[in-house]
Amino acid sequence: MTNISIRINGKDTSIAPQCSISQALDTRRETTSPESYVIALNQNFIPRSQYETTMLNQGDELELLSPMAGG
Amino acid sequence: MSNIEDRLRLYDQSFASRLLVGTALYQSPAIMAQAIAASGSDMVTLSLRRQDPSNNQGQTIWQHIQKSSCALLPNTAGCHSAQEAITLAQMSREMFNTDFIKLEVIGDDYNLQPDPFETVKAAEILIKKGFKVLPYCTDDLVLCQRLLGVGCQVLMPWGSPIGTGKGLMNPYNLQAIRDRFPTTSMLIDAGIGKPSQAMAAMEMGFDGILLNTAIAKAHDPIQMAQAFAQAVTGGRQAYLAGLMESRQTASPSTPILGTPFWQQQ
Repeated sequence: MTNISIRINGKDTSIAPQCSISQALDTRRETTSPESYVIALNQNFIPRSQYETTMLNQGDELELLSPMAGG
Repeated sequence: MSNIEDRLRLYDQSFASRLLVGTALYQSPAIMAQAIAASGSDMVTLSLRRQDPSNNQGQTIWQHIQKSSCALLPNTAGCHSAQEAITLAQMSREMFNTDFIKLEVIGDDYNLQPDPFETVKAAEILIKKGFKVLPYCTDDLVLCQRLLGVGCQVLMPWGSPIGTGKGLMNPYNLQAIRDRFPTTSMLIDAGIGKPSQAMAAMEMGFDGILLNTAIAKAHDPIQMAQAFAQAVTGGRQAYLAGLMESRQTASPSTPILGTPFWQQQ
């Protein structure tokens, strides 16, 4: 099966089909702790407890957000 | 009322300091941390932004904030709709482990004026989801009424647009909402540029001040943080002490009885 294309923080990314959020982000684990970000999928909040069960589809948009200064 | 009893109430929690500070725009995370400490604040605002592995500035700031032991008030800055704000609030709750949220839904990018309709809509949903919503709003009395109506226990009207430093742009409206909702915790959020403006708001009876730029962009942010802390405390004490009523005509403060020389003829 051919890869599907999703966007992570606005950048096109190719991932394997039938991939969960956890699987899609596996490559980030080496450099980034999963506790350092939270996720929205297509502008809907996804709790950490659902990363393994939420499957990604072609054209999905993932937002990975981390703490930043704010006023 | 003694200072020990006089605490800022935000929902079911209380805080010794009535000054809340932002964490943005500082020259460095170290200066930010020192300014927060100098301000005496018990609560700081912060945000969520796209993770950028090539830039760890956010991580450094976050580490400093965690060391400060301040309570956290994540914001929804940059959101333009209720749905965006709700999603960001939920993400913030998971990241920062707090129900507090500074609800900010911008209606116009020219002056960063909050969108009253989307703010009320978001507030209603967030409160039903268990959030403690601190809505950034204008000084419109009816808007404040609607926000209280959907369950907000705190209001944060602007003094003037974010980052302008113009102070209390519309004292009449601010006094009107202060008088209309006397038991609601109300903080002036945005537009405060000088300690004297913060003090004036506190003298009017506002419960606290939330600011960022005036400290972060001062020549000496640490000294300015101390100045704001003193202004907020002084203004609160003055309010509690009860200000004299202003008069149109002069009235001597020194007793007239016994005035020497010229009145005795």
